[in-house]
Amino acid sequence: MADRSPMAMPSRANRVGSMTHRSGSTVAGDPTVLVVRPTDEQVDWVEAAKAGDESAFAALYLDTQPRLLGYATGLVGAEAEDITAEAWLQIARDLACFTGDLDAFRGWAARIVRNRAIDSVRARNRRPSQATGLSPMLDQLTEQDAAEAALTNLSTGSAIALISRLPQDQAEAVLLRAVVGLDATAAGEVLGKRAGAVRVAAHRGLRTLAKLLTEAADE
Amino acid sequence: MSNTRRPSDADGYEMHTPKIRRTRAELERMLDGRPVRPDALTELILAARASEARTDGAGFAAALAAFRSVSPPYAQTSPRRSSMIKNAAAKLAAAKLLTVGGVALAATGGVAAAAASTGHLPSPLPHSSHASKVAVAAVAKHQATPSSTPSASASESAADSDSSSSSPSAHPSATPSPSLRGLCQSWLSRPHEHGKADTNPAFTVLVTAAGGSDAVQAYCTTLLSTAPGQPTPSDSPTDPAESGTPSHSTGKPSSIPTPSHPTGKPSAVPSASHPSGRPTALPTPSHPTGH
Repeated sequence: MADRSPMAMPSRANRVGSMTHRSGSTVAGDPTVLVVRPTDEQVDWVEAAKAGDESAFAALYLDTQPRLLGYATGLVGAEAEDITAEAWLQIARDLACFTGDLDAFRGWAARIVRNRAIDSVRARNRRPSQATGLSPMLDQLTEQDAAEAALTNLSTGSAIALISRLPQDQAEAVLLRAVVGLDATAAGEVLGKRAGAVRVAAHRGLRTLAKLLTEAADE
Repeated sequence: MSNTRRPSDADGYEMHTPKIRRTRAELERMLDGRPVRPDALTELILAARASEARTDGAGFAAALAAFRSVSPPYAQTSPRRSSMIKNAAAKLAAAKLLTVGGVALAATGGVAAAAASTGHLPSPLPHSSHASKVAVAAVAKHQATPSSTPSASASESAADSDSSSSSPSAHPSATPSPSLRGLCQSWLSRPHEHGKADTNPAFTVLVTAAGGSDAVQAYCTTLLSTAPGQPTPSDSPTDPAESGTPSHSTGKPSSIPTPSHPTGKPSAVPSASHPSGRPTALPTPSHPTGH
């Protein structure tokens, strides 16, 4: 795979943004979620890992793998662990050729995951679902069931499962933005779209999700 | 049950459909992980982002194996690298401790090479004096690379001075390793997995540093509430065994390079565009960004 060009800088004003991310939460000050913006220490990990620093690589893995796993789960469901494992082999192998900061690294890794997922889906000739290759079991759930499950369950799995039921471009936009932590431009580079298209897709996805959740709550 | 999830408006009336339509700016905030008015959708996104995904030891071990198989040995150390290496050295203590969990992270040859070229090991620092001593010993033993004579003697002296310069008292940690902060962030983002995280070798260093898996939560909360690069008080200043060749000052308070890397986003990270990586002279961020 060709080396990525470094990703454009996020356009958001941002130290303030990362201060707000102290808690990493959108709601109740809950500090237990993936923080979106890289911290100062994290910025250094890529360089150090490129230089052969194993603990930096470990830190990268710990930070990046859950993001990739969430994204991959949205793409291919149960195969996500295999897909991400393959991706890391490639990431490790190609890291020497990669240049960029942590944001760029996340985008690069996400693209690797995406390509792996696409290859896997093609190879196995999966019947494409309305989202993309949901695992067979999830396929059988109705959208309504999925929304209900997400509401009552609130697990990562059920949340991602619901997101993955969106049209593919919307699902991916939401996952790349919210779970992988890319900005619209970087997500666009993964998807081969412009940032504006990513924003539109993500917003549509969110509105659809809101609607599904409301309908499920109203029953 | 789902009825209880309906958000209420300010007057306490349950909001039925149609719900208040969020602005695009709000949606962007939600996607960015910034605070927004709570409702079922934000909780969904929060759940999606919550890192329930296990980072299992086996997956990490495989990735690490791949990383090792391509890790280039250190040729030589440039000045630019030394700031990075100091940071790497800080991570080494953490790395060494990871061996306890069975996932051995080797010392980067770079530290030994740095010793060779600069004449002394960078101030280690990571957290407890014991850990840093262990780390330096690890460097001495595990140097992966060019066993040029200088680095060989460097590491030997390092090991010697290491053992001889035992600080009388275990002084409290100076600046915690940057990787410890990262591990803490990972730990804190996995509230449901502490049982599993205990045995995950990637977290062993944290567990050890905190003094037990029960203590990790408090340790990490404290750690992340301090600004990066700030030392905790009291380190015995000098290393008596310091000599011309590789010495490390176990006790040195952190003149530890709060790694001079570019401040997050706004400062254009030109490093992204030139092959060599980051520029050397960079502003050290002075604001806390702990979580």
